[in-house]
Amino acid sequence: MSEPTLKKRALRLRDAKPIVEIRNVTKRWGSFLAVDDISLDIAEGEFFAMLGPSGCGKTTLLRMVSGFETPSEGEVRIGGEDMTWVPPNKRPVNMVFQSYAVFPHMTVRKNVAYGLEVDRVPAAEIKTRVDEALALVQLSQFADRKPDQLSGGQRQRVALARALVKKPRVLLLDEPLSALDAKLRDAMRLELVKLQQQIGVTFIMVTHDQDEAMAVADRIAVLHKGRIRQVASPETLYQRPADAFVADFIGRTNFFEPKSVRRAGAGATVETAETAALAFDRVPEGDITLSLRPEKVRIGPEAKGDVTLQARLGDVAFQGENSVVELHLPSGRAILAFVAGDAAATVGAMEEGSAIPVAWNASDMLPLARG
Amino acid sequence: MSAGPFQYARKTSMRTMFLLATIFLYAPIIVLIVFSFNDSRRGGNIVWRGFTTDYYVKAWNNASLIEAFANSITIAVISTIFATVLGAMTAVLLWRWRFPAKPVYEGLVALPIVIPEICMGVSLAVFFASTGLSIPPEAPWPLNLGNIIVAHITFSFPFAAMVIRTRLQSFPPEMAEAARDLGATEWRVFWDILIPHMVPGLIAGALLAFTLSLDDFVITFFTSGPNTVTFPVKVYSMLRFSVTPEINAASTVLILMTLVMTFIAIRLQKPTEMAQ
Ligand SMILES: Nc1ncnc2c1ncn2[C@@H]1O[C@H](COP(=O)(O)OP(=O)(O)OP(=O)(O)O)[C@@H](O)[C@H]1O
Ligand SMILES: [Mg+2]
Repeated sequence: MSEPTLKKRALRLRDAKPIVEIRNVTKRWGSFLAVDDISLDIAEGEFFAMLGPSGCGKTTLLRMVSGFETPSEGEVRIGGEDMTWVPPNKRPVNMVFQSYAVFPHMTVRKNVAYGLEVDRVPAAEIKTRVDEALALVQLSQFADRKPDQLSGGQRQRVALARALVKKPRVLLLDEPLSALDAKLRDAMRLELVKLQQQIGVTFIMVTHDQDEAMAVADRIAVLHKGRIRQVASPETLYQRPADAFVADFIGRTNFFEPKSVRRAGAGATVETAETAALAFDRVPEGDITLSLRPEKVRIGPEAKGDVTLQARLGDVAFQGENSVVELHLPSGRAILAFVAGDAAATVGAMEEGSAIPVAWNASDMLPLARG
Repeated sequence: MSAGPFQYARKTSMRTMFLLATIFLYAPIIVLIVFSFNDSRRGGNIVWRGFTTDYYVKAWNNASLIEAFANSITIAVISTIFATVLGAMTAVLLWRWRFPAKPVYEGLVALPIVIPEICMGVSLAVFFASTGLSIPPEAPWPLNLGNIIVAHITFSFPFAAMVIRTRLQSFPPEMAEAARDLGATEWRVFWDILIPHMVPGLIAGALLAFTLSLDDFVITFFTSGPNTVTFPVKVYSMLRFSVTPEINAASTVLILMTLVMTFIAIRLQKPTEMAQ
């Protein structure tokens, strides 16, 4: 997708009415808070991702939308109706399970038809709709196979077709790609995005893989310990993270703990071991830290910026077009830098421990609340 | 070369053990089958006197032996059906729900497995005699087998329940959730998803119940009457006079039947692999 269509899509989604409304939802297991007072609106036609580390409550939240769990407090509305207490078989949503849960004793065709059969759809209509769904996920020639004669990727498509054939208003996906190998996972990501754009159904996907969320989603909710840290587009999450947790979780970053913070109104002057006093217009309340993305760090003899330092070279990890370079600053802090092209070759030729000039712009350092 | 972790099968001692175990297990059965073809009148299991199939004909023409055989099969079929259904219901109940005193109930269900058979036999005999909940021996066939059938269901359904419950343990809960998600009611999930998953367990449980019933002697002995002799009881009474190759022949037929049934059961359990 080109830049302008992306913009248009974002604007259209912003104006769309919400299809799923999560209102102050809390879920307790005993005294443990798995989901803590979450409110979210998900727009019709949106590809929404819930992202967070293991145990943060993503699956629990998704299962409250699908109806397999009920909130301890709060309300779940789907298509404008209160669905908090509606059982899963009566909700206009369908789910793709992490393990796919394809019925092993049924052929692919039977699997896909099952949801229509329990709804007593006429046989002729079942046939056309199943054929359509199988074509959509490119499984037509496997219709008469049993699941144990399919690959993992194909089984996942069965799970997708089986859910989509019911024409749900929302498709829920719980870590749909985590059981696939790396290469297939990348291919399936693209296919999911294409599929979603083609059929226009709202997708809500749960994942702990930030690359995956960034690659597919229109908006991402970052969760931590049952709470939402930020809901934003992938670009915003990366460029303007709400706090240090988000900055750390999305992509990689370097943190600089301040030595002193002198506040003045909304802004402050922050001093660190590496930098002289830097003035920021907006600084969040409470404990803060400065975040600097590795690609903003320039290295080599020509490196220029507001902050210049002599560092010693640490490990260099070659990663395709980028090299990840570890730098030991005079203060004793180690930071990461991404270098590409010629600079990568230069660094690659240098001895570990040799001196190297490092520079960056103070404006690339973001003051963030410590998460 | 030192033996690797999975190379113990190469060691001579292990091979000898394996060979001995096989001999102990199968030698008696092979002797039984071989001597069913022995052309000798009495004590036919000692000296080989030439090949004959006479004793199969003789066994076939022995009306009381055939009657006992028919009784055994009838009892086994009927008690297996009940034991499997009852076992499946118990297994699902124990697997799916939590209720007060569940461990106690679980123990009670498993108890008949460990109670000595002789005690079960006596208790059932006493039960039928003292409560009067007994079918009179002069009732028409196969009603007169009722007591034995009830006794067989009692001791075989816990075995079926155990086997079926083991199978249920491997049921992935997402399967049921996926079906629910696709619109199925709890009832349809049970029929469309859970039962098909249980099939191998049902077959194994039924097979176990069937063989247990077919060869049970002790409990049957206590609950059978003069008109309701089963095959094992009949063989026992024939043995008291002499060991004739006729018994060998009848037993061979029984072994063959069990083998065929086991084979069918295994085939039924793996329909997809067999189809390839
Ligand atoms: N049925 C349950 N009973 C008790 N605690 C539960 C139950 N289900 C989940 N939890 C707890 O709630 C928390 C959130 O679980 P959840 O499955 O939503 O995490 P998640 O974000 O999906 O993690 P993962 O990435 O590992 O799948 C976890 O700490 C988990 O132990
Ligand atoms: Mg999860």
